[in-house]
Amino acid sequence: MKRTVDHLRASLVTAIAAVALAGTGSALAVDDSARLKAALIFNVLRFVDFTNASASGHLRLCLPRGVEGRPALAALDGKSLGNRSIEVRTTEPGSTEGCDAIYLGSADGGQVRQVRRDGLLIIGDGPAFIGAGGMIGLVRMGNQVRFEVNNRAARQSSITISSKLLRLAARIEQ
Amino acid sequence: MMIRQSRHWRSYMCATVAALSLLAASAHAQTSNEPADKAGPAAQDASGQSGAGKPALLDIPLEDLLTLESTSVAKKRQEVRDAAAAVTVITQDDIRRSAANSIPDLLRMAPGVEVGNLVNGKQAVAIRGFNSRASDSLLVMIDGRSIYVSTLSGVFWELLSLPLSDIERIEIIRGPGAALWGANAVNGVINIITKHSADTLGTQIAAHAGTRAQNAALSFGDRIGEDLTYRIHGTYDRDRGLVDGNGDNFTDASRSFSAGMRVDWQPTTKDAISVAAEANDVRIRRPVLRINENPLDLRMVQDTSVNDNRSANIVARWVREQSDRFDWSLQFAFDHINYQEIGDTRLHWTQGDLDMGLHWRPNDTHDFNFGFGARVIHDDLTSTPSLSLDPESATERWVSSYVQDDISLVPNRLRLTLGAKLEHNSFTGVEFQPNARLFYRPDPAFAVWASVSRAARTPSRYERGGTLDVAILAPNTQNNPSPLPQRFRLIGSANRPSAIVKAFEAGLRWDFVPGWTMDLAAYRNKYDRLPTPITAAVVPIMVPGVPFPVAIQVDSLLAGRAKASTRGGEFSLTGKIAPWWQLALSWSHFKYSIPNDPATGQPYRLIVGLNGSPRDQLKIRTGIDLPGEVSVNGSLRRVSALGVANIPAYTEVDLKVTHQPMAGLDLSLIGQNLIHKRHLEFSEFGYPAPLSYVPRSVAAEVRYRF
Repeated sequence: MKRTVDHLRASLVTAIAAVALAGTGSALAVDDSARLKAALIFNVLRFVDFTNASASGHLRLCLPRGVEGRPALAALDGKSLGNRSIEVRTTEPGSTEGCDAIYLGSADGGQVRQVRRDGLLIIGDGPAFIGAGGMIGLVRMGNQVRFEVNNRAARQSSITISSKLLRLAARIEQ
Repeated sequence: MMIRQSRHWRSYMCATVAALSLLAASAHAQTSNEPADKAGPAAQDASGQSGAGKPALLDIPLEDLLTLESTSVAKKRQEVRDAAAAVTVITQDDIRRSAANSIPDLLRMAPGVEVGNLVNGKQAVAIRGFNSRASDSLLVMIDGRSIYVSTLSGVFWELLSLPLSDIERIEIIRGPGAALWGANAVNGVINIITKHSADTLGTQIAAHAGTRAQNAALSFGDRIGEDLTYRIHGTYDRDRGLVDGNGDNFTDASRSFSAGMRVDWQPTTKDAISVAAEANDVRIRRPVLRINENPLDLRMVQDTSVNDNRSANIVARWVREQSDRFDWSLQFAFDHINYQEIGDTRLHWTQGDLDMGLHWRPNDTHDFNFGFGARVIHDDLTSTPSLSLDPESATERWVSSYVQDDISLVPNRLRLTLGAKLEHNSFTGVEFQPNARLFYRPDPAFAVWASVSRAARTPSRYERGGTLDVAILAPNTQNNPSPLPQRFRLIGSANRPSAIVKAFEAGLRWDFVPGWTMDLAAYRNKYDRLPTPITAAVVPIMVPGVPFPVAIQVDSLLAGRAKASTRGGEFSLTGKIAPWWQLALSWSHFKYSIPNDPATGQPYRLIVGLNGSPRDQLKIRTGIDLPGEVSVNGSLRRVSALGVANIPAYTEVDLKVTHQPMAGLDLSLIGQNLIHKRHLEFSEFGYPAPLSYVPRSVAAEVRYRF
């Protein structure tokens, strides 16, 4: 913890100096990137209105067996989303039974089409993901992970993405 | 549903005010201690259950997760709450909610920032005093590129034409920043930070049609490869400007065009390279006061002027993280301005600047920032009878280096920052600008800080070799009690030293209830070697055939020997009344005193005076998110009277109502300065412009992103 705290201390003036003179930098390792993705997915789930979701008090995030970044995403299990909590499930590839959201990793159009159904939020990786029909695409550049939104695909599956999330998206496909 | 959901936002929406954050870096540090495949401990870490005083990734507001890079970049970015300085951040959310349509108008929302419209296209912006068109104590930057124009001093705000939606945030530091930034960061620093091009992919259009201004902005971004993104933008603006005392336009509308781009390339996870460039063409039409050159009828007469201005700039930056404990950045900036000022004088101004900044954390106690810089400025002013420079053209050079150490005396509680900048320029020589800051956090919700600094304001070229001949003082007036008109000329003197400030500051921050923060800062600044006009010659103006003088010419030389002191403070309160209702309130107070000049027995006269700053400013902002994607945002400001030109106190209100009928589409109705038909904000002795009023205006705005 000490290390973390020390990592934090700095004067703002310096901080701003560094930002201005600098730009970007810190190398997040691959596993950090997976955790960052998990944190982004957590936020995405907060700002999506699952109109048709089960009233069980759980929001089910499905991870197909073998999908990359599983451990970080599995850590979302039990996290509270207000009056609901996240339940992380492992599913067989292609299956979406009982899922409210599914994370496909870097999937292609065929895999997206295979899981697409009403009320299911489809999340995946890479700049091509939303073009392939995915709804939320996580895109890494340098150390930063951003998200893109295919709002048309979301609407077609009766998923409402909040305006706040749309505002913060790196790209919106209408 | 939205309202219910928005309750969950509470924990992180509160951070709007503190958008700067090292949180992300902290999370990085926490999470990187754990291997990826250990779900258990990783989960604990990620959820912030590890007992850390700082939140982990899942607790970080989404806004901050998305600026992790620029955050950890600097590594040295941190929350406002951990700053040993008086800091305000205007976030993109604040910008979106604001009725403001220009950067100076946006700055009005920040505590203690003084913004006054002087005349069409010309604004005076300052912090903690010395407000002027030639505001000389404030350093303003865009992405770290200084836009302070040293020849005439001040910032040419009318040349800033960035689309406001491309701004990520504006960081405002009140108080000296000279130990890092160097000369002219005397009373404050404003850094306007634009969005990374990867954050703005796709197309964004904005159109604003109002009773006073019409403008449009188009921005388009795309990805060229996995590691390369770009954005281009274009803007058009037409503005009818200010009005006279009857509410009539002074001139036809001013207009401007701009085009710009930004490219970001991150070939590795250790390297980030960005290049941004902009060019614009700004035609300002404005009323001016000129001297009626008939010696038998010497007075100021009103006329109009059309100023054609152009500017272009480019900034390139390479940031490399060499290791976890060492990173550096290299930046090059180039600016060219072709600008018309007083008396239609034309200034060509070119600046080249190279900066290297390094950040090294040898152990857990010390955290060093150091760097080197070199700057060359070339200017060329086509003199007119109103304003001339001797020599007309000059090249000036600066070299500088700085070092700063953040010393953690008691981890997470007590921090001492020591730093200094050593700067050499080709006209005043060496400037030494040290500062010391102490930060103490006895409790997670409470922090105090104090600082002492010395900063220098280098004299502009105008102060060193200019002649300003723009003022005729009418007879039998306060400034000229004699029965004859007085022609007042101000002449710079070559060996002017830098003005010096010694600044003492202290502040506290207290999260007195969850989600509410109060911030208090107080300061006392002592200035020395400020420029003051010394009467050098009083000559009667004779006309052949007239047996008595028709006027008196008074020539004053600028001497750097005035003293002054200021003191004051800023208080702000920010928080949420409900998850959907945010509030920000600030009050600033400013006082000054000017001792007597032993030579005259009267208080020193100042060229950039202190009477252009209001004694008090009260600012209240609120934003309410209603169901049905409607938001209502309003701001009120009360600005007390200025001691110059009898500018009265005023209260004004701005209002913006936005509806989002579909994703990505914002429709807004905007009202600015709604209380009065028109009000005065600013005037300045020696600036030849008639009193200009800011009129009420209403507008409709459309923004669409796809």
